[in-house]
Amino acid sequence: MKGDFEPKITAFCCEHSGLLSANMAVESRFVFSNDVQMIRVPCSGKIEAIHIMKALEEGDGVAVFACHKEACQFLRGNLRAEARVSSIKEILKEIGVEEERVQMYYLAPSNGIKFAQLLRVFYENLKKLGPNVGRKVG
Amino acid sequence: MIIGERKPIQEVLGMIAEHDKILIAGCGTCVAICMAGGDKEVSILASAIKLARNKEEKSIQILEQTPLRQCEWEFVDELKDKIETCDAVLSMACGIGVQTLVERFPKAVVYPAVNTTFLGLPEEQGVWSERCGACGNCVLDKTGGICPIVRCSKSLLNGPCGGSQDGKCEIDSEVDCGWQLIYDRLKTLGKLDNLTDILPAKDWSTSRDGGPRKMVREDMKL
Ligand code: SF4
Ligand code: SF4
Repeated sequence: MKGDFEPKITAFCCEHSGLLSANMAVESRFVFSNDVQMIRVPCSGKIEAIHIMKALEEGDGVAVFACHKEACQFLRGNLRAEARVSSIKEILKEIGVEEERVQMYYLAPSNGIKFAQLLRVFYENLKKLGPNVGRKVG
Repeated sequence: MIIGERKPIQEVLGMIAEHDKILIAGCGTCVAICMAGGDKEVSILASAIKLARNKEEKSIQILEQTPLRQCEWEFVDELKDKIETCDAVLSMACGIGVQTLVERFPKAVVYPAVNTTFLGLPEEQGVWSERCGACGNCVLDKTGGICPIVRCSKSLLNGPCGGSQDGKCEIDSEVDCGWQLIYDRLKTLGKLDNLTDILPAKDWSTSRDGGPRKMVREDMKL
């Protein structure tokens, strides 16, 4: 059954890095736009814990694509995002849902290949984990 | 303000195990500012509970509402309609909010989702610390505005004790010695003489002694 399972992924992409790389990956056909639901954010620091939780209620995994550390346009946005991702992982651990369903990735603004590779790894991990048991029933 | 902290989710899940429809009631004042029980925390807890319950294949319906304050009748009354349609209420206010709901809605089953921890302030974003123990008889005038009751680990009225070292308390080298703070502050104010006045043993009858405290002001009654 797990073999047929196609994980539903939400990717929050910072428009200064993740989104540019994601667009490049799509243009180069490394990634197809229906593989993942992409959400553009002005900075990864704009992502709140509840956004990630809501995406988990509806899907199997959430990836956050942010600028490299020390390269955030807003200085500390990616560090804030990292802290929020950690807090969500803690919540998932508490309720017994695999914390790997939420991941934070850092990349440069124009690296379509890296985006595709990271997304692939995330996708494969989710395939191994199987469907999110906490996901909304029905 | 009153500082609180969300309870471990497993403890909360245990409380609501038998319920299928609950209201999570936040509070928009102290616990919102200390990020324990405002509308955002209500949504996050609701989401976590849904994930946990779906996992158990025991889905749950959750309503959310955060009145401006949960410790006044006028504000909690707006929860009435939702409370009536739910099996139970999970309050994310301080213990006062929980009890306000219990008194206002005697038939409702109300559980606390937050541990009320202390009276304090946000030193900086994400860091809170204690400032007052609500002793009922303030002595800040004598101690340069620094509370000896909660900032001295032994609540000494005539400190420091012999354990004060390099400005730190003997209980933990990370904790400031309250009496060093008082000394430094009085020195800045040029009031070190205050320290020669021995404070008499405190009359604790205004504090936890003598049962629940109550204040009545005839001039304010309607
Ligand atoms: S002396 Fe009493 S009332 Fe004053 S700050 Fe300390 S605990 Fe609070
Ligand atoms: S070291 Fe200072 S704060 Fe600690 S118990 Fe002694 S007097 Fe109080």
